[in-house]
Amino acid sequence: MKKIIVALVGQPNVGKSYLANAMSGSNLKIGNFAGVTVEKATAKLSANESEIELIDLPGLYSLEDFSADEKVTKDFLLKGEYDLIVNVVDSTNLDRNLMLSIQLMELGKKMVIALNMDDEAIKEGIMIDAEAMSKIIGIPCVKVSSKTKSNVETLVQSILHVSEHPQQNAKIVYTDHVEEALQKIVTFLDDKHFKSPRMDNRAIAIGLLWQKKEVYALMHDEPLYVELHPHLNQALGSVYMYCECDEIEEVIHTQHSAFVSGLCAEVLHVKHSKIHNLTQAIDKVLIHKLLGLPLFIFLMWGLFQLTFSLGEVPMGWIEEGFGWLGETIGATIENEGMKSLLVDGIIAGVGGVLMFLPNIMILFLGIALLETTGYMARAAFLLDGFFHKFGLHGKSFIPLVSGFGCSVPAYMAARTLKNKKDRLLTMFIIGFMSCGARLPVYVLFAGAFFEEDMAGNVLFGIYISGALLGLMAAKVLRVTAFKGEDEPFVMEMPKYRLPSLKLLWYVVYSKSAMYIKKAGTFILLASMLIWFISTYPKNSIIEEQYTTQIELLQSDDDKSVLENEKNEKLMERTYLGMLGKTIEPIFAPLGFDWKMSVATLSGLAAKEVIVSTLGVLYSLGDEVDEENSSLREIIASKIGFPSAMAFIVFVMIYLPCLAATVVFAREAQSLKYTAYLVIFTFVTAWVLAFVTYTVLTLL
Amino acid sequence: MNLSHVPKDTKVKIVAIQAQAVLKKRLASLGVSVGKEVKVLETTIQKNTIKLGIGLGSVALRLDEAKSIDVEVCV
Repeated sequence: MKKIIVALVGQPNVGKSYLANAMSGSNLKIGNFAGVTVEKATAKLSANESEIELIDLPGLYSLEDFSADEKVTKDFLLKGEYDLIVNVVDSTNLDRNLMLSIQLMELGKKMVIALNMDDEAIKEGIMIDAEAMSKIIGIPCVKVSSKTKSNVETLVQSILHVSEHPQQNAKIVYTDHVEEALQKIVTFLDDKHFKSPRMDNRAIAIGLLWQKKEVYALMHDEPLYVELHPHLNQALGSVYMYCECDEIEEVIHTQHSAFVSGLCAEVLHVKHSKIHNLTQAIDKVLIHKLLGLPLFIFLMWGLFQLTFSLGEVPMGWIEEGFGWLGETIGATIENEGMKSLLVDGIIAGVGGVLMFLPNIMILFLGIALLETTGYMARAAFLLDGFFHKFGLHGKSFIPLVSGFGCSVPAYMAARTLKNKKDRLLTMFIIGFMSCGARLPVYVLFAGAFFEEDMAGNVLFGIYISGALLGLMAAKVLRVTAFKGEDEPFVMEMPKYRLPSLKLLWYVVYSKSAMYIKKAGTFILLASMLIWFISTYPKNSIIEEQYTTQIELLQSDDDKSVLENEKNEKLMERTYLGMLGKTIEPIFAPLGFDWKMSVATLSGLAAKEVIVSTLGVLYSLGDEVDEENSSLREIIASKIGFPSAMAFIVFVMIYLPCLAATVVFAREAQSLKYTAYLVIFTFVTAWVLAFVTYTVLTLL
Repeated sequence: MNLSHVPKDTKVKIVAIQAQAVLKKRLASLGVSVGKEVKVLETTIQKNTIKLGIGLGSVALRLDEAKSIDVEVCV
């Protein structure tokens, strides 16, 4: 089977991933703001005995290295292995999109233009004559709609057709003197029988005249460069003279704009311009001078309120389910060790984490809605002024919000920031945006220490204070470690779009599946490990001592007190107990007992492990206490309020999990900054938790 | 007159952009370039950031960036 590799290229928000999904039936991630696709992703389909591999590249506004994600695309286009480019264009914003198309056409590769979002264009009264356009530019242009899947098959056929036939040059017409200058260079190259495997001579001439570094690099090593040089100089001189300017960038821009306007005049017909009425009308409210910010805060508050209150009901069911499972299984197993492993280790650990699945689902649904509707860009607009005061960029908002879901994609989303310092600064404070994995810890503690109707507000409060702390940290870092110039804030405000239910379902489903998988594998193993090191080695001397003492006692109350004491003593002498006792002094000023200290440490593996560790540790120690069956109740009775709050503060700030730290190191490309991150987060977490504990104890 | 002084909902034409080459290119690729007709659609409460309507789309800019864009009112 023949394999055709297709590079999907286009500006952000034109529906590249959506189109790739429509063509292949796969599920790539989609959002409605710049920077959702930050790494190239692939999807496959087969047609006419050929296999087409679609490479979905990060969107870019033009072929300059503006930001790191755009560079990924440019590098691929220049150096990657592919057969043809499919340039995805937003039909409702043709002129702007074509500015990129021209730059792509100048690369001199095989190309097809997909005029995407045709359905929206029709609705907005925008008509594009695709046939005329194909003829003018010499590249097949196909109107498609990823949403209605219309013409997707035609697009596939065009791709096959173009890949099977020899390359036809794109027809870009420049002004006469530029054409003349180009022709001189082409004639010279032809006369010298020069041929490059990568580009044809006209593309080389354009690259040289436009002073593209890559083309110079290509030609510089050729012996003929010496002879070429004077021709080039002459050509450039005449172009500068006729264009009456001495900057090649301006010449290029003027040439491109002129061609695009000419082309649009020929092929674009706007019947009635109810231009983006709906988007502008919604914006009138959502980014209103006075209403905008309160609305934003309300929406965020609503999200966390829902996360807790809607999640509460199924959470109760899951909790009861696991409780029942533990009892039933416990009753059928004779062997004490086996029973303890299953009930106190596996069921308590995994159940403790799985119980928060409903909350996780709601949170991710909320974030998916923010991402896909286009509201994210509005939030960045509203917050830029505020963020700027703290030395951050409005666009930092996007990675920061993704950080509420998981730090790993958030670190990657920071690539949309151009300036390295802005990017690092944003990455440093992403950890302050509590990720989804920390949610179980918060829900557990908020539920344990606050009334039910307050818990949602507490949850919102935790997230908001985390964010505010992050802003303050940003300010501190900005004036100390990351001094530097501000990056300009220029950002597209995409049209509002209703996300498809299928897409939302897919996001929530895949996140839930990932969470369950993590609970069933990683958390399961971690729970077993924690159970093992908190059960062994057995200490028979203590056991015997207490057993004789308990037998001597008369009252049941006294017995139960001693029984608890026995369990505590036993656990303190296990491996984990010894570890906990060793690190306890570090956490003692924060009011943590050794179990909390151990949970903090285990949380480095993954934040959910904190809950499963607490679940295992507290359920092992409390076998006799029948009344306090749920972990929440045990925690409420065993941990003091100041310690609990200090614990929340610590969890809120200290290092995200190891996986995220590895991604940080990769994105920051610096071990030094990674070490800084570790020290910075630990020290801040410790100090603030200490302050919280001390203040609350004094009150 | 520069763009930062333009009142809301007034159509203006860009006559010059006095910015560094990188910013200029970025603006151009978002459709903000000399000769284009634009309109300030929204501003934030402290007028730090403005939303600009260009053709069929819209772009957000900081006031600092708007100051570097010279415009004249369309008749």
